[in-house]
Amino acid sequence: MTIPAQAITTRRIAKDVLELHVGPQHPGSGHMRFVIRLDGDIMVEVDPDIGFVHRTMEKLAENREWLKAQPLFERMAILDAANVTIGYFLALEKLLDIEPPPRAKYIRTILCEISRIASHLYGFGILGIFLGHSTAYMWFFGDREVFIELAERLTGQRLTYSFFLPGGVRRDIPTGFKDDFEKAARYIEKRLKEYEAIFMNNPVIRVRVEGVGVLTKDMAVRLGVVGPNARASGVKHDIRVEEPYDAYPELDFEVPVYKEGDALARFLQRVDEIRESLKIIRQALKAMPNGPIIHERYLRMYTKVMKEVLETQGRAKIPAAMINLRPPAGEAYARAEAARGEYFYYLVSNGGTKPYRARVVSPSFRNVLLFKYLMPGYRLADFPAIYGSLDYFPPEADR
Amino acid sequence: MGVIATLIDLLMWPPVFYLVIFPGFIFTFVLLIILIWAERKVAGRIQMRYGPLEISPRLAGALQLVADLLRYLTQEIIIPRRADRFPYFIAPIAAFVLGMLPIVAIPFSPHYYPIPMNDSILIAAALTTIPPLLTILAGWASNNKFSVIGGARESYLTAAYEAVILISIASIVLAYSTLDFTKAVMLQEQITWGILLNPIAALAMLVGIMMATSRFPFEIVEAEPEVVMGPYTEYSGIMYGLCMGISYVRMFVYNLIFTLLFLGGWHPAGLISTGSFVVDSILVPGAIVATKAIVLSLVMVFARSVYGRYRIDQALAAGWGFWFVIALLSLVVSIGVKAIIGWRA
Amino acid sequence: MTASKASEVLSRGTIRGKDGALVINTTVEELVNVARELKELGYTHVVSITAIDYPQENKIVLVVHASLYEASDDRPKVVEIRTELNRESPVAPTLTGVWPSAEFQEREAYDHFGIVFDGHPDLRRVLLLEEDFKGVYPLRKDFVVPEEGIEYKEGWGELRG
Repeated sequence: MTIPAQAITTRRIAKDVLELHVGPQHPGSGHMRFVIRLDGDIMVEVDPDIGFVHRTMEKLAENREWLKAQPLFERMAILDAANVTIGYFLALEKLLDIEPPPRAKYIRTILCEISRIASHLYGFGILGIFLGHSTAYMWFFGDREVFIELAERLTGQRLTYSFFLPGGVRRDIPTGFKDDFEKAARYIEKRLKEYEAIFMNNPVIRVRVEGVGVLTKDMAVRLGVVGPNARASGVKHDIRVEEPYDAYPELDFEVPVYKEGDALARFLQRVDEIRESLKIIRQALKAMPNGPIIHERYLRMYTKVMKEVLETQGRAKIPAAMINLRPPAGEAYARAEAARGEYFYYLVSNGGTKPYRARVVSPSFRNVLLFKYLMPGYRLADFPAIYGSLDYFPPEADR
Repeated sequence: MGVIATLIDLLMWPPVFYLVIFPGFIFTFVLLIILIWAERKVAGRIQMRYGPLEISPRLAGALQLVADLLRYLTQEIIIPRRADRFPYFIAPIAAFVLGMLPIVAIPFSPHYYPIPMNDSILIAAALTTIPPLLTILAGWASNNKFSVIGGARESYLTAAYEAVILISIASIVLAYSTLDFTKAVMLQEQITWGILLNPIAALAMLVGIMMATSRFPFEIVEAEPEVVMGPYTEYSGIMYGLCMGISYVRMFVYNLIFTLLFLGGWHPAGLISTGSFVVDSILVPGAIVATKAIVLSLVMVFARSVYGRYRIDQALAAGWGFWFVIALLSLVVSIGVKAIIGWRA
Repeated sequence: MTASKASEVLSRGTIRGKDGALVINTTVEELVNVARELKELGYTHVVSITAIDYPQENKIVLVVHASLYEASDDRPKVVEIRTELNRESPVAPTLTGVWPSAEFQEREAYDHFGIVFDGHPDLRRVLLLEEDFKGVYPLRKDFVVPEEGIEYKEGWGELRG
């Protein structure tokens, strides 16, 4: 089919504009390419060229059984693996018309919050290294290790948990987890104070991020920005509050909202979110209900051996009916709040063992617009500062 | 044999010994290796990691730089097809060698100097202004947009920091009323160290040195997330090794000048006398000056672990708006100091 | 929001029982008008623009999800607009005039399904390379991803000398 005329556009380029390809092999670009047009030191146009890590996940999901999509979708943002896949299971459970038992909901919430904290620390590290502060980079990544080990204690895996099942979770909370968590929480709260001293109140860093990359509330709403980027611009939008799932309706937490919309506000908003996440986990551990960790529809199919494993080791094995899952025909959507923003899953089933269409929209894909509309007018040296503060993750945007 | 004896005699002749072995080429080279290793190790300790440890674990990784150097020497030098060949080659080599050139005017003791000079301060300061030109040349010759942007940044910064450094040197020279390093140190031995006579000039010069040699927070020319490697983007192999060394060599030379002008030079050396000429007049003062310069260099490289990186317009605003004014103020302070010295002497 | 406006919203489509989304089925000609009306009612941004390919029924269904921020009442949080397009040459009007957040989403729909959006300011492929995928739209059902098997050859698994 021929390309119609409206797909080809011409743009007038101003005189004396330097076109810089900040390409994939650039230390400050991540896995994508930017075509930046500079007038002196000021950027006039930024064209994000994404797709370098496109792994065709939506197409691949159509060739795999329903349950096998979890390791697939986890790789969108492996640092935040729990939050990335919880949306898929929420949509799948809506198709199947089941809800996980309360204990499973609380365990899911705990893992999601641990994941969120680890992801925020990663984002801070990237901001630090883009601003040239290698100490901040090393410290944030080193402290992230604490939460990765906490997740390992819970799920057995450091990064790609594959922990959820439709209607429950795969493992129960191990003994001693509460004490481990308290140690980790105390450690990170102490470190957060230190970070504010060395990093955020560092005059050099402060002057690089304050007032840089200001995203007004009007522009944020118009561009459909999600996540901490929107919350730092005054838009109070958090799926955990708007469409609560899992244990969030029963837990008490706040959603920090900042008004300034600059890079500093985005950083501070995420620090506050880490503190709120610690609160959530503490409450969830205290209020943990007893009960099964997997829905009774699948519990009924358990053999004696599987029941024994569940009782003694706390591991839920996967029954055959779950492997050959056949949800009834229909469509369902679900949204979840990951560290970077809102994940949107839309699953279409035609009654078969594989999805007919699995649509996933990641928050980084929705935030790509910001590169095009927020960057022009700032200096070239502000480019890494704004990029780092947006917490943009290219593999997530490309899927 | 006659030839070897002549060569050894030539090498032992003070000017040649000075320029080649101590504190000339070889000493600076070895110092570079130790200094970069110390920077990486200290940065590692602060950042909750080990730093270089793989190469020589029992020496705490001190031979890491030697290994790096060997690797650079055996690496292929890739020359971009459309780079301007002669300037592309000459620029880093000349920058490295000319960066060491001011040592020709810096004495390490009243009896140990390469060339007798009366205006050594003037010559040393003038020679330090040459390497930035070669950096800009490297940026231009590489034929790469990132290199050109890096070279442009260097040209802006050069104007700012050289004004600060040269005015600071001028102000302390005003206080000493002499353009000779030897006389300046002797004056400091009599009265007190330069840093106490005119602390404002010392402070301005310290910040100027950090701006000149890409120490954090002024690592703007080679800012990695912005302009890959600045003017040195297209260099590989041993040329890249040289480019890395340029800013450290310049920093050491600047620190030698700072030591002689502000930190009393070889000051406590006059109090030690063992009777041997070589020890009294060469080794002891030389060791004292070198130690002071090394300590100062370590302090400067330590800033890497603490600071981020300024934006170019913020650094220029700081350089012209604040430190230039401070340097001018130090001129006024120097006039006052000179009046006091003249009145007392 | 007044009761009449809320009921106006609800009357356009049906609420799906499984997830509470408001599903509106419309035609290609009416798409922009429906979008404009939804924007008036407070749905300020697009969440996803995608399509589902039904080769047996010879149609591609364009599915647009729109949502709102900071809602304080019981409006459905997500609105799903479904439009049927011709499979031979799917053309739809662009929604970037109503919702600027649709820009990259429409580019992705063009990239994956070949849907041309009339009036889009910059319609080019966003995730795939034009030179590799000229005229091929991979998320359609007729694009099959070949799966390779590995054939076991004699001598694998033994140490190579």
